[in-house]
Amino acid sequence: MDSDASLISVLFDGVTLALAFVFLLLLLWHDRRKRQTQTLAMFLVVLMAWNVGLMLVRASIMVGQNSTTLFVGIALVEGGIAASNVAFYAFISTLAGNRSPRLTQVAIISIVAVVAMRLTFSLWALSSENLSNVTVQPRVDGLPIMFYLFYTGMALNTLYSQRRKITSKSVRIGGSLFAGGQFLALVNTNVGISSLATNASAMGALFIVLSIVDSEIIRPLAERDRQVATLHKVGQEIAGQPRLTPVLQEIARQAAEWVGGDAGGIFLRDADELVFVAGYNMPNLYTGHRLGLDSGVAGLVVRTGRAQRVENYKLDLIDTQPDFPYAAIAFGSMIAVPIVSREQVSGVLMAVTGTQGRLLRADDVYRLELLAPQAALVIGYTGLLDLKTTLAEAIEDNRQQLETVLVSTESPVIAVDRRMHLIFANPAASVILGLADVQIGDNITTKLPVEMIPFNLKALAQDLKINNGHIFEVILNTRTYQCHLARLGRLRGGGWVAVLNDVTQLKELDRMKGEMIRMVSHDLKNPLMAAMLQIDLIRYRNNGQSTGPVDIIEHQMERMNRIIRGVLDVERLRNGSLRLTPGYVAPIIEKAVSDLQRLADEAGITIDYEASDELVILCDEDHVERAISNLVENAIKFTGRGGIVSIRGVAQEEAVIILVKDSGVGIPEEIQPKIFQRFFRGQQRGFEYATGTGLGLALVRAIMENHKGLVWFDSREGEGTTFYLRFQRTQELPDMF
Amino acid sequence: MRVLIVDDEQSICDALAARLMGDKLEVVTRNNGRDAMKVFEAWSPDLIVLDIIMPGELSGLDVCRGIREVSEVPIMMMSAQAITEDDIVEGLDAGADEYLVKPVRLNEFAARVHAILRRNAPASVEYDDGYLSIDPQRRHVRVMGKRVHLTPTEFKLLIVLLENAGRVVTQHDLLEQVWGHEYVDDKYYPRVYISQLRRKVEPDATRPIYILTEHRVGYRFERQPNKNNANNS
Repeated sequence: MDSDASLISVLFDGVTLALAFVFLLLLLWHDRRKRQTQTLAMFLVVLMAWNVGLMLVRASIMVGQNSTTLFVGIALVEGGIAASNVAFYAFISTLAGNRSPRLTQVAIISIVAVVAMRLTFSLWALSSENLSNVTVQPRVDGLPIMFYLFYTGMALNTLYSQRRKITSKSVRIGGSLFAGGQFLALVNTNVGISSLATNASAMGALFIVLSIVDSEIIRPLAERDRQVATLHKVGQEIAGQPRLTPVLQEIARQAAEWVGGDAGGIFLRDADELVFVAGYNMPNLYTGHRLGLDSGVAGLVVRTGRAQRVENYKLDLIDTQPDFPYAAIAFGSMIAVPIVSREQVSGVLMAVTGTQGRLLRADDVYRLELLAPQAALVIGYTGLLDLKTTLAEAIEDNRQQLETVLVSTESPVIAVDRRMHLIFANPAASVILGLADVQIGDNITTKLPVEMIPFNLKALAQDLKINNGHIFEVILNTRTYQCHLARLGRLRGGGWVAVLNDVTQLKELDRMKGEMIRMVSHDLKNPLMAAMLQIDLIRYRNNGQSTGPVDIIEHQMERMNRIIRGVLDVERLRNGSLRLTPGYVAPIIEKAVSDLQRLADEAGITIDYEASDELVILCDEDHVERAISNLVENAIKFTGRGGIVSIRGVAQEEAVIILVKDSGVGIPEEIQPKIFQRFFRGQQRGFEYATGTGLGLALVRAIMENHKGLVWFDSREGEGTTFYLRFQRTQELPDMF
Repeated sequence: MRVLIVDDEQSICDALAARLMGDKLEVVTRNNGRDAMKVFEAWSPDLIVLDIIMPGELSGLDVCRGIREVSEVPIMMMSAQAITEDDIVEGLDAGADEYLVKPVRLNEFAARVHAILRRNAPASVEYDDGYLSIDPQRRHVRVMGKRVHLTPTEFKLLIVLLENAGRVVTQHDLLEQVWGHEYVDDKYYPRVYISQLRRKVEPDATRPIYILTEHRVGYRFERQPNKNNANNS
């Protein structure tokens, strides 16, 4: 035996195993809970025990007769061989995905049994002082061979049969090296050859550890780049492609390529069904395929909300319908992950391999799960885009309709923003307001005719607050427009919109009506005066005496005069313009009553009036007197002999109420709404003879409107009527003149 | 006393004329403005009654203004068309002393005619402070030596106030003394005429120093120190 060669062999083993241990430590540091790493660690430990045993044997031979060390060494060698076989099998089957706990138990029991038996045997050999035999020929017994044959055979078989799962070549080479090394150790117990065996086994172990390090640490690190690149590409696709399908197709392609699958695709949820919307390498026929939620892997994903992995589609999917027609024949393995948006599964992202393709693994699920949110994002994003497009189209449609309406209308419409920049002006507005050369967005403050600026800013502010709009009159090019001004938009200061209505004709008609009434009245008044003067003349010539017929004629003429005056008064009040000055209420009432006292006496009616001296209202005294006397006259007319008409002026907070109450027939309910109309004459029962122009109450209302006051009444048939006049009270003192 | 009545309705003219002639007044009637002007120039009436609305180129207001340029003869206007107080004030502004709204009754008309004629009676009180001077005999009023034309009613109003200088004249007294007892209800007369008068005689009508308003009571004439004397001393 060459001790140098033996020393080199031992050194080689030591370095190799140390390297293997370093890598093992790396793996343990990376993820010590992984079963695969744990079994690998066990494998390496027992391999180490075997090597240590051999070294002990060699050392004891070289040093001399140290029987105890020798025996321990032999025990370690034999136990190590047996245990490493078991551990090797355990590791390979873990790698292949066999997770039976019994496996570990069997392996541990076996190792314990071998070690125990060998120790017993060695102790027995020691006690029998049969040392020399053992020392010179440290051989391996039948039991380790049995272990070897059984476990390593099983392990190699697994390595071959599960080659789809164990794709790493390094593992296969390492496994083969280990098995070969073990074989050498068993067939030749010679120490030299035995060291060759340990070398091979150690190399094998190193290979295996390296491949595991590669698959567990190095490859995932390299994959990060790929992940980032893929996600980046998908992100670009999303940003650059506004339509849903192409982006989903790209995601399906990325999914298939990333996991090394043959095809990929995306289902989207549509109520209680899934619709296949995008595929990569899938038959075109599948696009638009509908799948119930109770069928297929995709259906399961939606039901559970969790990712699903099928290793063998044909075998694993027996109790449900396949995802696609012929999928059972074509699909090998499949991964499907939910696409979750707003806490709901809105679709399924899937990748498949063919029956001869790669087996998709658990870490592939993770990759798809990385891609799924991207798909969710796309769906949400393009959904929003679609909505936006739809909305934009709807808005555009509405805008066009509105614009057509506005453009075609003859009334000028103009809108400006807060800073008086033009937003819109229809052709009518451009022509009438002289804005033909103004562009949208130009400031039109100086270009707008000055008449368009509301002159009564106080009224404007008030109207906007109460009515959200203000109306004023504008005269442009001899035509009169009613300008309706309103805020644009709900926001404060959002702008203004003005609509101008041409009311020239209406104004003209109104003016003509007024003019006509004046003319007619004038033409009536002159002959009336001439006739009345003749009657006066007759009476004058008869020294104040007159005959019955003359009195009757005079009476009728006075009535005619009252009618004409009533018409003119209503017209004049309708035209507004009163000079309101502070006036005492009491004298006004007194004056109104005194003029009617004679009429009341003739009708046998008592007038009773009362008002506080200090009450002052803003009014036109003649008009208020007129309103009161009209009401009192009415009250006298519709109250029977012996009745009472009472007038009161009372203060009520900021107002003064003048009420005229009678004990007359009352106003029938059915005519109550009409009594303020012009020329309406009530025909109360028993008072059909009552005369009037039908203008009295219309005048009262016109007067009250001009005073910004109110008039209303209570009436009950048979009990009487009370009219109320409400005026604004003032603290100003009246100027007597 | 001569009264010229102008109205386009002949029967109205006739009736009014008959009534005034019964009171021993001389009356001439005309139916349009042009004829009225001719009569005014040739006949120099003591009172002119004018209808505002008349056919032809001259309306009653035109005639009134024309006469006021050369004369202070009392003018009484009649109109069928008075709608608002503003219309009445417009007539008075044109220089009319009276404004009657048609239909006018005969007795009222006669009473007012007599009242106006009475108003024109000469007064005796004189006033001169260097700025304003009043000569009741010649019916002349001068401001800073320059003659100002007052209508008879304006003149009468000034005289009544002057006669009561330093004392308040109530609205009622004013109406009765200036216009006549028939007018006590025509409350706006004093207001309108006072403002006219102030425009004509006050240095600043918005801040009167002669004709002062006694709030809620009436008006008061206040004598001013003689400017000439003040300057001389």
